[in-house]
Amino acid sequence: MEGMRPVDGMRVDVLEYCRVLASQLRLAGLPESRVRVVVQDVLAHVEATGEDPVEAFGQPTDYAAQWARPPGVLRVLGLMVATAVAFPGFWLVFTAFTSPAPWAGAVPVTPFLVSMVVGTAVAGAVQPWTVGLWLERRAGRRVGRGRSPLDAVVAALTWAVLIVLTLVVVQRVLKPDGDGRTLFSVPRRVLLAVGLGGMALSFVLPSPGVQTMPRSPADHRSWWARVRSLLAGTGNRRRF
Amino acid sequence: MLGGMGEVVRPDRESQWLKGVLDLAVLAVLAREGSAYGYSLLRSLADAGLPGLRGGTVYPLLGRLEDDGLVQSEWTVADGAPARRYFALTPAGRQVLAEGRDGWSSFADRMTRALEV
Repeated sequence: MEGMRPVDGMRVDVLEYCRVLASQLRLAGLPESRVRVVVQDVLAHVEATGEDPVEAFGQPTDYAAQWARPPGVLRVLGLMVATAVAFPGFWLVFTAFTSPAPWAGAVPVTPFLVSMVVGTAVAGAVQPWTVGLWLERRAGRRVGRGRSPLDAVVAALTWAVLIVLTLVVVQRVLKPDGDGRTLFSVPRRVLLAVGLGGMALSFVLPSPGVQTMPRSPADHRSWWARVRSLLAGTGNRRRF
Repeated sequence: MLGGMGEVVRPDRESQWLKGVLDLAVLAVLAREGSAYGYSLLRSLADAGLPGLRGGTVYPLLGRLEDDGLVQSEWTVADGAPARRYFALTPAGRQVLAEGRDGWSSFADRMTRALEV
């Protein structure tokens, strides 16, 4: 399938195309080094020919499928579980730093903390890897056709339903009534280590909706040189 | 669309034929030209009688040929222009091209005989 063509007279921005394409390739599990090459080929081709990227390559979802199979059920479930483990890391680190317990002592785990961790895990993992993934694949078939208002409505409604459901379940099951009960205690360093591990994992996991431009494969600068370039305000210039 | 012998060829049939041998056509262009980047390769294929091919067809094919070790690529950077990937044939690619050329000649001869009325 070639996918939807752009609206007549509407030229697709090649950088937007490449960002959406990169997102589709990452979700399919293509290594980042390969993502860079595929995207750079598109950029160089469009620059050389002046062609519309959708005309030359098809919609990003369809072109990405030529490089890697779309994510299957097992991959999506695995990523959902990994996100559920990683996402609450922020809460754990926050709690480890702000708990009033002595620094060398154990941090009391309250029903409130458990609620927040469970709620964050469920909401942070379920929405992106169900409706979020569907919306992302839909966006990858609509480049050049403008954003659909329906997508924004679906995303907002899903989040609202998920948050309300999570709050209801947490209230019914854990009853975090703020009475200061301690379910159990965890050494602060353990909480911090688990939280930092989760945060690190969440940075490397792909996520639907995150559309960042990959680095050029011809850019052989060290990571430090790239950071300096970013700080100097030249990091986002095209180095393709 | 007119075929080589003047008959009308259905476009979908011709694209089916092409699917099986496009890799050989790409290898042959690289053998003739030494090296080429994506767009120049498409132009050479058009000049050789295969117009209308899109980037979305040729780049994944080049990727597969590179994975199979039949071509190699190198990035070149020019000021103000996006980096370009130049492709060149490997010795393995040259061998596959030679075998493919022989195989195609033999197949085309047999097919021509099979189609005689």
